[in-house]
Amino acid sequence: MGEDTQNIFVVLPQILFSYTLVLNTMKKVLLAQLPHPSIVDRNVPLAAGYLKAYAAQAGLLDVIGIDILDGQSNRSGCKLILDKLVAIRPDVIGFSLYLWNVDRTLNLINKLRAALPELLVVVGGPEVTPSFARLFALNGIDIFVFGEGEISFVEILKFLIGDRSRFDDIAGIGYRQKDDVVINRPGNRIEDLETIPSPYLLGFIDLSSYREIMLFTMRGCLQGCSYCSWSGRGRLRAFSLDRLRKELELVRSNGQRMSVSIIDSAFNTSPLFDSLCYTIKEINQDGLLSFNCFVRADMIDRKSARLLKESNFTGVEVGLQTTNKKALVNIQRSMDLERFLRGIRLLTEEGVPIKVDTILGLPGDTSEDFNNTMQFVNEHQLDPIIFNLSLGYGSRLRKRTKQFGFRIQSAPPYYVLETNTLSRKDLQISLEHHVGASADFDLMTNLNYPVISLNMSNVGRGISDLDALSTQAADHPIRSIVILIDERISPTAVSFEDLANFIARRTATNFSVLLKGPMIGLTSSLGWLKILLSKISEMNPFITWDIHIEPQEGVLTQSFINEIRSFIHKPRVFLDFRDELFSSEINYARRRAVNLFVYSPYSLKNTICLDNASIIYLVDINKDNVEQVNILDATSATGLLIDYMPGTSVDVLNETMQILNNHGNKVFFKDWVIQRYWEQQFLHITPERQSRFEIMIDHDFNLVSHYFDENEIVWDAIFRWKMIKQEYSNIDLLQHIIEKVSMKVKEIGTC
Amino acid sequence: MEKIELVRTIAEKYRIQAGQVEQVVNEVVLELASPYIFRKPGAEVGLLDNSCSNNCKEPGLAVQKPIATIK
Repeated sequence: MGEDTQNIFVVLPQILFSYTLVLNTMKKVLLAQLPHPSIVDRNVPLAAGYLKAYAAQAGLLDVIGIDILDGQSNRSGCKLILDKLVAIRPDVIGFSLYLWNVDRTLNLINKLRAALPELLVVVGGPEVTPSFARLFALNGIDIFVFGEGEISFVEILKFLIGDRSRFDDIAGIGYRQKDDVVINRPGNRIEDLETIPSPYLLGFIDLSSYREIMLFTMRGCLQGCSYCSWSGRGRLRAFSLDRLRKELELVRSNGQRMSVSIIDSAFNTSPLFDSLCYTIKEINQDGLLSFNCFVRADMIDRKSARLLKESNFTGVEVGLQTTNKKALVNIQRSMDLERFLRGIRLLTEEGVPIKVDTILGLPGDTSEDFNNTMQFVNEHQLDPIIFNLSLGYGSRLRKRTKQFGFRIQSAPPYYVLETNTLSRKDLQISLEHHVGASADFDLMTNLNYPVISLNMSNVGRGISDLDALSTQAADHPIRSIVILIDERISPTAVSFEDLANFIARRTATNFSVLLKGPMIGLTSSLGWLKILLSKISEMNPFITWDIHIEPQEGVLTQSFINEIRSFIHKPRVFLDFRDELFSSEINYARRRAVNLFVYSPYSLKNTICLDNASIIYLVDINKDNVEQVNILDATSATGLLIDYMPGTSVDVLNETMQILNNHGNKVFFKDWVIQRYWEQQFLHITPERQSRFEIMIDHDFNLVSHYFDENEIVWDAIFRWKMIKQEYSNIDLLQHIIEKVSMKVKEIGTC
Repeated sequence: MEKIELVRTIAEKYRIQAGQVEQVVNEVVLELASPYIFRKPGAEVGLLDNSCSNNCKEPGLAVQKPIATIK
């Protein structure tokens, strides 16, 4: 071998060396981005889309298959994802890392390594910097891509297919070499963004999987705030108006309402601000799309405020962060408060809702300084969001840890727990004083009470064959299991070990368990419940758990709660670290990694007190006890779970819900139709699209399963709740449906 | 009658795939309960709007902007 060739083999890591021997056989690249654990459906893989699009313009898609992990996988638990990736067997896998998915992705990489030893693992994202690379090099990652990844990604692929002879001169990457990490020279930014085709227009991102999409009109940021991984990205570079117009027209083309987040650093600094707003006004006159974005309030004038309003921006977010000038200097952020307030006033006058970002824990801010910031916010009647200062590896401010006395969490979200001007205790007091404004408070608006338990007539009619259940489960992750327990515990055809394995292999990323029965039955079931919950948690360490316990006779004890919790084996995950700053005494239905709800009849209120559990009072409402709704009081609990008699009139629903809405207690509804009604009518939100597969297990281990989706909820609303159009109120609904369907089906048959 | 039973019955009667029948059933049912199913006539219709556009944050309660009125 020549000297040059020997030099190449010296710098190549071992795994790439083996790749050079099989250059021509590489076929598959998979790009994946795991979701935030509590907002899985908003996980749009835009970064992966850009990478694939850039590879497309380089002509690489003719040579290599590049896939993006589908949106349906967002709802899949750890084991399901792992099995899916192993089945795909990519040659190269690229992961986009963010604060909220780093822990889960690293765990997944380790498991993938064991299953696919030849896999080449590449990571990128805002967290991936040379210091991150040195920390995680031994975690099975082969290549780290820093900054904008498109150019580096394409060069890596070119090397792997033999289109490029050297690896050590690919800018913007680091790679593992034995026990060290080699960092190549920094990469360049892409100056002409039009060289990156649109992943939306190329069909690389399936829009039908999402209800909210993200758009960049530009890259770059004018501010240089040192806590931000975007700072120092230099001058602004914009995409073309024509491309953005086509993207928006594409999003509109399926006729579905969508929310569009323009995720520029500050949209009103974009060179395309005016022209894009006019374009939106032109093509979105029916308001099918709604928009939100960040803006710089100090750069808002009357014209821009009006344009935002007229282009259907239904919310904007502005950065205040702090009013303390010293802290602003420390974070290298400029702020003219007068101009800021002027911009806020203009937006308010034009009717654009505004959220104002503040940060708790900035260097130089004391408790009093933070209070002053909050006072400023209140005086000007602003709507704040409080962020805890979070310093990932991509943040320049992290390098000044010693100077500012930061104590930073060891894992994401890397919150700053104290500084040399703000003690941990004072930080916590400040946060809890304003707890409702916290960005991470994450209130659950819906307990997602299992639908399957509403139709108890299926009990006993189920299957006792896991193969049949497997057919029904198909591609659906198991979202909920309902376990009906009585004193007779007699597992029959299905052993609970087999059942535990079956469920654990198919668990969804947000998983709930409802345990229902007399205490004596619940207590006697701890043995097999331990097997079930342990197996699920061991195979799915990063799912979220909602455990609902509904004892029907007897008193639930603290030791039972403690035992159930002990069955769930999981590492400390992102949500646990996020929780660290909230004391356990905050008694709300707040989304944690493991939420445990205990249901108790309202008649027993104030008699139950349990640690590590949220108490929810059960209330049945019917037309005869409506007046009692006025005196419901759940202040001693987390909230109320309301159950209406099927067929309750809309008038009674409206009357009672109005009272409940005025109360201030947290309310949830057992029935998913009613929960939907409440969310639309009173919370004024359009809820998440329903899609779930649930299993009910009765005392004989008969299994009943069902897949529920949006069509089911409509059926349910019509037949159980009579929510139908007025003109159909007096007809035989079923007969009408049969006739209409038959007529249409006959037409299909004759085509 | 449950929906699954209805679909099966019609599919067998007209020898059409159950999936196709189910699609038709869904369309017909939706006509009975329109997209504004949970609204009374004359009520305003809103749209999901989460004014927190930063995707590293959890969504708070969304703010709805009425954009149309049902006739």
